[in-house]
Amino acid sequence: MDALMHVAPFVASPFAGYVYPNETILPWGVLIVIYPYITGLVAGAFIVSSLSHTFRIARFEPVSRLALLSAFAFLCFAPTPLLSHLGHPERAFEAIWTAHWSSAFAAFGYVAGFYFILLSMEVWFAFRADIVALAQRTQGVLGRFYRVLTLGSYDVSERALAYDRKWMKVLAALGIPAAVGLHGYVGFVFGSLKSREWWSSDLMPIIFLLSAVVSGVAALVVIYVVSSKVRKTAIDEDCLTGLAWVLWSFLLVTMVVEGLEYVEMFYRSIEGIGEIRRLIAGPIWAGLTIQALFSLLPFAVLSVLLARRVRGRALVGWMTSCSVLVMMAVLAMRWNVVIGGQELSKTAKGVLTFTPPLWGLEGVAWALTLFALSFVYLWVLTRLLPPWEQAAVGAPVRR
Amino acid sequence: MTRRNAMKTQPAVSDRRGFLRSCAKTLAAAAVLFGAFAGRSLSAIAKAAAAARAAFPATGPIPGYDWTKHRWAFGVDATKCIGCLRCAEACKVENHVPFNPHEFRTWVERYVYLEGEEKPHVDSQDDPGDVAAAGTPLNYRFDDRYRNAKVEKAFFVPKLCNHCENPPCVQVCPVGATYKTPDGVVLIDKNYCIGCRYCVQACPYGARYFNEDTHTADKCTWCYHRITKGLNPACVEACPAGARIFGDLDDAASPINEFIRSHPVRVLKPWTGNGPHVYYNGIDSEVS
Amino acid sequence: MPKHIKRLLMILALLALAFIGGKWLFTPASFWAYGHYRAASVGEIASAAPTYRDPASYSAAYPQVYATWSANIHKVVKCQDCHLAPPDPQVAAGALPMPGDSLKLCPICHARIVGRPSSMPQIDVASHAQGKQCTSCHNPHSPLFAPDGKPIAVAGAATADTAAGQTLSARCAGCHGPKGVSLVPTFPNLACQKDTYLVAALSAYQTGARSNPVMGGVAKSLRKSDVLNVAGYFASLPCAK
Repeated sequence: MDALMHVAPFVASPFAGYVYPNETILPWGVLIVIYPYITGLVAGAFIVSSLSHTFRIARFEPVSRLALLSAFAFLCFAPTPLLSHLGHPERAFEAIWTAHWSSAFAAFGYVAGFYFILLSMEVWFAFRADIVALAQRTQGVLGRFYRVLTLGSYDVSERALAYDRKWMKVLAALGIPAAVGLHGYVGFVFGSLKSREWWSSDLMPIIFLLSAVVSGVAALVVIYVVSSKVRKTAIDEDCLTGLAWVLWSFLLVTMVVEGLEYVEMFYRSIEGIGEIRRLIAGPIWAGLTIQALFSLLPFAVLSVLLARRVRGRALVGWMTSCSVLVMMAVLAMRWNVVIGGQELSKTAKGVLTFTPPLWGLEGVAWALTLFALSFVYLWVLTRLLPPWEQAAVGAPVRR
Repeated sequence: MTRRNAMKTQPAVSDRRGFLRSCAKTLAAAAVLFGAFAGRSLSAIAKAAAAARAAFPATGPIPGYDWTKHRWAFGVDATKCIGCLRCAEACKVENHVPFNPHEFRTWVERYVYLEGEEKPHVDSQDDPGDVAAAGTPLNYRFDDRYRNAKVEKAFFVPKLCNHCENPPCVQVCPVGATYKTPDGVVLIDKNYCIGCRYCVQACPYGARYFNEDTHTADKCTWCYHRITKGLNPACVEACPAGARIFGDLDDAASPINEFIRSHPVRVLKPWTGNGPHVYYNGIDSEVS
Repeated sequence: MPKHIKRLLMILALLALAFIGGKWLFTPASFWAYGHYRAASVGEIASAAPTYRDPASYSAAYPQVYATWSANIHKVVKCQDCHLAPPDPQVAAGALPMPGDSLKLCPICHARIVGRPSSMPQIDVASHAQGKQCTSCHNPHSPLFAPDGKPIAVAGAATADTAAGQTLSARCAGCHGPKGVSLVPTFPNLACQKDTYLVAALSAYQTGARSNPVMGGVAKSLRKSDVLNVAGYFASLPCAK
């Protein structure tokens, strides 16, 4: 019964066993894989910037503004996969005007909106001194852009900057529960559903949040290393080691909680475990292997890097490789949850095999484009608001 | 690089009174602009509210039909179903459901126990063999793959939306595009649905699908446009075997009450706590 | 408070106003009337016109057919179940297209498929119809009757008089053997053969659908009840070893 059925304009997934007729077209595709991935990067990057701004851990200072810009860039792009996926994106704001509070999705509009405003303000406060300096120096359209951003105030006196710092502290502190909410709700969306065995779990919001932080920190490492290489500037190794510690510890907890989920599932072995075995051995075998291997290997390497206090080019090289692998592992995890969950039939009698289309709004190409565009946008932001040095009061900003 | 005095200060405006004054000015301007933009005066608002109350009385918005006086329910007698699929075809015509084997408001499942096997073989209209037997996407048929098999037991089970008492699909809709009416029917507002498909995920019975024509979620409505006119749903009318029963739980003489009273009925997946309102007779524990 | 903080607060206040304003402006008028949904959508859904028609609505256009249909066993099969299979969403009001091929239509319900309850009359299409249209023997609106109005007997051992059949079978023994076990290699056994098949075969010889100079004459000498009885008798005999 595995003949592939092609019914234009959509492709039905082949299946083994029995699945409900309405299940053969998966409702959520790669766009819903990439969306929690991008919001995960937001959460991770924000946590790093909070380590500097809220918890005042000095070693993260070199990447704090870069982390803030990264979080902002990814957040701006986070709604794009959702808007591409909606049947009626023009009606998207209904979730704000008539939010149905029993739905976790309704929370998205408010949490994301609140978080967007918060992050915009935090970026503005962190860069205000630079904006003021740039507004006075730059000509033309760009100069006007900076002058608008100043909100008409060129006050960078100590008193003004003290206000800024106070606001930053409050915003950064508020931002942590907001970031937790922004990504925790995604886990709740899946974990709270009683209809899908693969998703229904109390641990899901925690797993999503932890893996989000892992992916965000890893992405930040890659962004930091790549930008330093491009700009030919030195990489602060204390900072990089600090990021290694954060990555290592969050990776450990993530693997433990995810492992716990699997252990308990197989220990209980309730009805339907046969199909779960078929799912794991079949459609998501590759994804689970990537998720496991690309988590364990970097964890082992990071352990060695930290235990032996490796520095220099070895540290940079290994850290970057580990981070790339971890980013792939978390993407695989999103695939295994989102797609894997839909491949396990609600009948508990069948398993589907989903092959995403390449083109079209639901295609792999568009999802990867949106993901790439968020990095392009980040690059544009770093040109507009260079995060590389903390602007001292009155000091010119080196571009 | 020399340190530049970057402080170009503007003339000082702010003392608190001045600040409050400018706040008040902004708010007043915003309110006036807003009122003009919205184009409504207080009397117009009151008139609109009164009209809304008139158009939407407690007895329901459908003239001549009091939705507080009915409690609809559905029965399925799997001992009678012959798997002819007249119901599936009639439903698609009646409700403009796209004609393909992947979007259904109602469908029929076949359970076949072969000799010596504990678990049944199950297939439905999405099965490639049955699709081939149908020949065209306009038809739905079961093939005769078991013609030469040693069959111990076999039966057909029609399925449709259960119009649950605590519908998880309504719970997860982010905008309020799906809801349960006082007469017990779960409906979808296709002019409001944003097409996020969360409800499609949330239904444990696979009753919902994403309609590729309207780009909204869709599902069985118990032919609400028929039952509010005193008719039966199209699938109930089309069934020649009497396998589908529909009626009003509040009407003692209704066929559904007779059906529930005279058969050991059960619902699907009761452990979900959904409280489904489709009552099945003649299914075994493998049917969910 | 520094000027930029004041300006920022003002922007936030405007955003809050825009949010409240948007909520008021963009919430549909009928929302909240009955609950968290657009009350107007109930009317939109309920006002759709039903398309599956009550057979009584065709009684004016097809009075005789309606009279036959409503008085017979097929009254549980509504007009559209047969006349609009496959369904035609664009069928004109009042018109019921004539099905073309009853051999494709009737088996939808009546083909023997695993899973159909035994109370449902089912046939093996190939051997029952033998290539003929169902409507050549059955009036589709009263299928227990032939198109000419004469009743069709339903074959089955329950209605056969096997004693009468045994008496009749004396004339068969010459070719088919004394106990329905044939002595001649080219003549088939009749013992324990399906009664429905024997009825179908004899009927086919009667009508000429199957042609054989001997059997044609034999079959034509039998009445309908004779066919039933002799078939029932042979069906009850033990099978040949």
